[in-house]
Amino acid sequence: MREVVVLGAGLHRFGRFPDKSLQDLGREAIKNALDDSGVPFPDIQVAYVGRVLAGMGAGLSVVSEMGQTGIPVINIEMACGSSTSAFREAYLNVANGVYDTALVVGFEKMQRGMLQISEGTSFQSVMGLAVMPAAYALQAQRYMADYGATPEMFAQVSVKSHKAGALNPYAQYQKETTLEEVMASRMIADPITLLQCSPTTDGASAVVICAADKAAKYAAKRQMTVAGWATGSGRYERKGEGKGEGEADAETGAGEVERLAHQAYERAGIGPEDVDVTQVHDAFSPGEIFMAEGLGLVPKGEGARAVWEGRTEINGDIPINTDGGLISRGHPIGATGAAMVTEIFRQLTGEAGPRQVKGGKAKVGLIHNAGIGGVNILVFKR
Amino acid sequence: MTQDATLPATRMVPLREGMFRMPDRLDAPAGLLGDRCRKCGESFFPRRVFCAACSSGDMEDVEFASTGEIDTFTIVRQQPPNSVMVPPYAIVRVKLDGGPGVQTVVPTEDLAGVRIGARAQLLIRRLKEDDAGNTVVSFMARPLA
Repeated sequence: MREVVVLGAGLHRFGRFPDKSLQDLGREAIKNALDDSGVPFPDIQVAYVGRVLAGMGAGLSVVSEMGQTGIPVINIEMACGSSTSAFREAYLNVANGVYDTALVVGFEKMQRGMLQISEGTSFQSVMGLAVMPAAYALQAQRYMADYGATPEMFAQVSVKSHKAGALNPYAQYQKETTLEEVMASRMIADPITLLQCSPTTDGASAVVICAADKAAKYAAKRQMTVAGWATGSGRYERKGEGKGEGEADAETGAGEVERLAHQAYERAGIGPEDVDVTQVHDAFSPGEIFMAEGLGLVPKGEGARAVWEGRTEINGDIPINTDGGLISRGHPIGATGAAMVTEIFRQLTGEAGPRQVKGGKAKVGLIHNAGIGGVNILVFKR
Repeated sequence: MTQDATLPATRMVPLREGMFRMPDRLDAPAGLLGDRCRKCGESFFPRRVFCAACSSGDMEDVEFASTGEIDTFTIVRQQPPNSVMVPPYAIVRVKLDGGPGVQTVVPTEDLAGVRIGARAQLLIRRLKEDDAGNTVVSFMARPLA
């Protein structure tokens, strides 16, 4: 396989934009990514698009805003992990020589309110079991019982996330919050309060990748290399070890992440101790804690304490979600994964401004992005 | 003559056919109907056609115990879309005695006693009335004191 580099990335600000269309959002993100990369749109050979709620053919209707060059536009859906799935497909096809350049796009426009995660007539929906924050809350309660963590430790994830979001001009929420405010916000599913939930969001993200040996002509000022990847769906865990309906839970299950992170580290030739900056899927506050452990950044049972002690802050030794994460940057589900890649790109190229970790010397970036049914891990090197 | 509160006012119908043995009255123990893989022994609820653990199609029907232990829980405080449960209610994961772990709900009136490690009884409870006026029932948990 050939070496593949990221040449540019861009976003449309995350937030609520009722007057903008998907095309408006997507066009701006793609334009920003192309400008950032130095690659003109006519040079793009394929587009992979992560999106969830839009209707059929949405990918083409957005990408063709940039011009109708006849390239394949491939729509990809894995719920909240859609645009890292799109990234992986783009990467593998460039790495294998099918294309030299590829555009990865993610976009979403969402309704307010709780996400519907099961068909409305399923018994889980009718019985009130299909509740996304509850999936995290069930694990959080168990975690508290097993490791002595407190609700405040989960709430601290949100405090930390808002602090980073306040430094990110593309974030949905750019305002700091206090532990008291997070704890006092409305309880959604114990111990998760409203400010510990990712919001519903409109937004778009885009990334331009290129075969390393074809990148020279774009005079890219800087780039990062795709160093490792892993992807998979939930693997059944035997003997009903808590798996409700006899199904594996890939979104919140740290066990699944452990297996896939190991694969990604092996491909990248690194270990978790080499990671300088990380993006994880904190759809709800416990996510950051479970994933810090699943990715091996901290030992099992020590994630909550690591957050509490500030280790995952921008200035900490294991910075996580330096752009505010899903909770503060926002979570337009199809656009989230490519936004994670965008933040790692800014961090590894030393362009993260006030959010910059490790004095601009970060060399290895890690991404965990999950959607109902699957997990994507990506490793990047400067 | 006093009315037996466990006798439904209208015909009882299950939320979904085949998930539990239908009793003739409300609040009866809920025997969940699942299956077990003859090849690897893993058991499932609801029934699966192919085993999730080994993909064998050699499955036998099983009725599970209606009691177990609460493995974890949360209290849902916001109305989820399409649900007839009224918050606050609990979602619990109950490890059934000799059977698999299942997720179900505990309605508001039974919330006292919901905690990790508590014993729980699955019961057939009224969920709603359907358009034809039937009493739709499903399985819910109640913590045992």
